[in-house]
Amino acid sequence: MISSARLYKILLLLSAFLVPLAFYMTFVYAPPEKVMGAVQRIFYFHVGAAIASYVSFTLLFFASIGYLATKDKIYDALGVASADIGFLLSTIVLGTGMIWGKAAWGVWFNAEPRLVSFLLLWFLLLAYAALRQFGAESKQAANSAVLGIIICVTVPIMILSIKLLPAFQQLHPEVLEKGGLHPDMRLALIVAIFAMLALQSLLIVLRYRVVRLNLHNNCGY
Amino acid sequence: MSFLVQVLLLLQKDLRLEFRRKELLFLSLGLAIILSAVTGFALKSAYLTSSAELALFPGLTWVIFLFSTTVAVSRSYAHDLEYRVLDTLIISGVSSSAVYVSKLLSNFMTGIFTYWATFIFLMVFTGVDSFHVTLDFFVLVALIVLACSALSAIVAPLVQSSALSSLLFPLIYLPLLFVIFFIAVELSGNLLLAGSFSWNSPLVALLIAANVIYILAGINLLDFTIKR
Repeated sequence: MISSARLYKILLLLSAFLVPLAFYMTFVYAPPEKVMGAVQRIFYFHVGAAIASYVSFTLLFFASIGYLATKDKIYDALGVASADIGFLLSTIVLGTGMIWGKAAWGVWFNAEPRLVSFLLLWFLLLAYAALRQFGAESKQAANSAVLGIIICVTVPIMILSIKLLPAFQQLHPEVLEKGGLHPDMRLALIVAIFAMLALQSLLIVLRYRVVRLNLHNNCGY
Repeated sequence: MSFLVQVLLLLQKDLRLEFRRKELLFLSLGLAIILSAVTGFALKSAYLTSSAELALFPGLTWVIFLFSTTVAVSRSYAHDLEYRVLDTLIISGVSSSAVYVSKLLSNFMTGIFTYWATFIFLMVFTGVDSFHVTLDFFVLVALIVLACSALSAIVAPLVQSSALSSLLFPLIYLPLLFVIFFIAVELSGNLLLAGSFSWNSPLVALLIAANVIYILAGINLLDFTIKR
């Protein structure tokens, strides 16, 4: 089995290649959007970070189940790492979305279902971190795993509920769902998504190693 | 002892304790009255048209309900933990699923009582009363309150032993309830204002699915949070 140190090196090399390439594709290769101009280029990182944050939720779900089933602290560390990096990515999604919103709608935040739901997902990850920090120490890992599962089962319900709401309430653009992207833009987006996933994996591995080190020092793990 | 008997005995314990202490009842009722009065005053100060007040009413009942019950349900395990009741129950062979279902039912009763109290008080303080309150609406309220209770019965023990439980509980519980709140506002608005409602609506299916998912999660996960 591949060690976390080796995986870290592989992901570091992959990110060192993909992230500059994504910057090149976004700012040089992709054509400017006719209506919004340069601000539209934030879309590549926004979508990439959003997809990577959902991957974090999936990892958190499986790590939480793994911990409750085996009581192995490896899964606990993986859960914490996924939640922390998921929180960082969600913050990027919200931040880039707000910049885009200011340019497109003239306001930083619109009470639109998808925006509000993503803000609440961000709050849930904040709550996970708060529970980890201030929860009862003796049951920290088990409580975090239970909360991780509850958060992750809520995410698909949340996404589905937004899709079921009437169309007039939805302002968020659906470029990916409806198509219509220029082929060069699509290629830039794909590269940006892979770059963000590689960076996310790298950060998760790094955070996982730090968490394991902390567990080792505090609990003799 | 069968599962059902365990649940009924635990529920009886919780209800007797509540009738003696009247803590959650007064807490949620008091908050419902205060918040309804403040909301009524705010609506009157805004000089809204009666149709605008009517359109706001269903959403406002759920906002007040959420804030009134959050404090009450966050304390649903407080007494049990304080006197180590849960430890005793687990040692004596009571299943954690039965503990969960009994807490769900007691939270449900508190929730139903608070919602209807909120509804009546808000009606009094705003003067809005031209609704179509049908049997469908009663069932819909029950389903929404059940989902809130299912979630609160599993979130409360997660934070109960924390020094910051009063801060952590709303931080976790309220964002989790967002979907239910969304569906509640949408469907109760349709029912109360238009009177038209279809049980085949996808939002109703989602509400029922959320109920099933949260109840199953609670039954299976409470064990990990209450055992030492």
